[in-house]
Amino acid sequence: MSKADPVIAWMLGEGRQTHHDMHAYGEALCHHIGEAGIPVARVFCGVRTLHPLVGATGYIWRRDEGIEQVSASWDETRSDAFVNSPMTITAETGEPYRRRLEGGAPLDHTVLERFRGEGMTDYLCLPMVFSDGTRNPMSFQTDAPGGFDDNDISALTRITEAMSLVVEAESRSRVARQVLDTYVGKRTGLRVLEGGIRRGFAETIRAVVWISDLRGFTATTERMPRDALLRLLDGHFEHMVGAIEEAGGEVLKFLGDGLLAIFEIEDGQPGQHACHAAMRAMEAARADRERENRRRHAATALVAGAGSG
Amino acid sequence: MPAFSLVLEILAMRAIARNLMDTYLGHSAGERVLDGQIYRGVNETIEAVIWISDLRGSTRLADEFAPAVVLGVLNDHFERVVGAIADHDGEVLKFMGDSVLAIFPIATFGSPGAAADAALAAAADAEERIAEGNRTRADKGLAEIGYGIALHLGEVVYGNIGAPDRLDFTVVGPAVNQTARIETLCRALSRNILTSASLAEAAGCEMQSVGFHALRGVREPQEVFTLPDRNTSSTN
Repeated sequence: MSKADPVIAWMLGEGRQTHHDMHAYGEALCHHIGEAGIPVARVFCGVRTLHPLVGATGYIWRRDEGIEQVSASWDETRSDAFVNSPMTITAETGEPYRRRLEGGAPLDHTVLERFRGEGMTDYLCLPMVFSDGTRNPMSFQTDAPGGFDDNDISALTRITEAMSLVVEAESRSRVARQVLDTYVGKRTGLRVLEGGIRRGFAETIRAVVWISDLRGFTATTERMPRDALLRLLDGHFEHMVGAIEEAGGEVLKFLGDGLLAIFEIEDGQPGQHACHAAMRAMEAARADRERENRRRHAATALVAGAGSG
Repeated sequence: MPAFSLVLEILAMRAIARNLMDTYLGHSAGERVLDGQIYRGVNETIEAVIWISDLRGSTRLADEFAPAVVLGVLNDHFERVVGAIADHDGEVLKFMGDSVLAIFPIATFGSPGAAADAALAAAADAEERIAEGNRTRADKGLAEIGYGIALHLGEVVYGNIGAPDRLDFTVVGPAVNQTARIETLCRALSRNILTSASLAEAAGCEMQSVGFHALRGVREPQEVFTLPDRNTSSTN
């Protein structure tokens, strides 16, 4: 019997039913790996994400400190330290990456030197392969003298295979939600996921309707270089969306330089609350635009109107 | 068995995500997003035929009829327009109220001429489909649906625009604004289909000029064109 058998049985069975978030699941998993006699001191498991602000996310478990979530912005995932790391190399080549850390032999990555300095004796990074062929890294470290033995390596390989299923299911269940939040809007996205996607599905709601645009946008941007145009638009939308969302509104769509948002009026409630929220957003947006206009001395001005219906 | 059910779960979720993206972002934009192009700053400059069309009189419709009726009219109209665009390999990027924004990227068609011809064929097809809908409406004693379609060939920025965590995958740029301005001329000139000079030049067929016109926000008056000897709007 392999050391991996009881761990994998737990991973695909009881573990998934009793630990619904990856934080608790990861913590329990590392405990089970240790129980099975594999001397892990640190475990890392990470995935690339489909989130507008986060390029990659993962968990690090340390035997003495427990589990911690870590994430990297899209910029960080393009940094040298990230691109040239053993985990990225493993994900890219699809090959196991193992380095024994004992002894004084030079190591090919500074991060491995650091692990050695911290008393680790062996480092093993394995690819989790998803159903579409994409690969993400899972790594193990030990501080046991002599490092991992062959049985440990083959058990960790099988555990990583099982983990690829668990992690892919988990990360794919978030993808739909994240892309809808990003491109459709948070509340509307949720309605879509809950089954309102069929055409013809529509409900009547009461809401304050917000439509705003940049005045003189066509003329201002006719000869504007591409990057300046993008900065202008992105900056404008960032301010407007921020003001609207902070006040409790939802941006439904962008069209050119304009946007459409709503402040929903709860069933049976008078409209004042939503109107006040929209007014707050308008004040915030106007203050923002005035600051920006003073800075730019440009002919782009804010026009925002709100009506209840 | 537990592993098998996980595999099914994964495949189902992949299909759902793809479906949602196709539905709400359009096929190629959706594919790009699922491929990781989800953050602001991911965009490229492309050449494309830009399509902006709208349904006329929808404000009047909304005032006169119940929301469900208006929604029915809108959905029927969108079905005809989107069907025509999709059948000619264009990509619908978004709906805003009663209008449609779509592109026919040059890269998809191999040359500006091929993209222009595909867009013109789609416009003629849309005209046909809407006319058929109007015949059905006339049989029921309902008023005709008027519309306008504007086509322009130009450079656009294609990609993520918006706030850091609330994005739109779309096209922006002066060429898009100009297309919108041409679209507003449809009504004034009683034409269902109007194009810019750059599109008319690329088109394989001889286009008919309808003169030079001032476009709001555009410095010089622009010559606009229509398909020859046809498509005089019957709603005006």
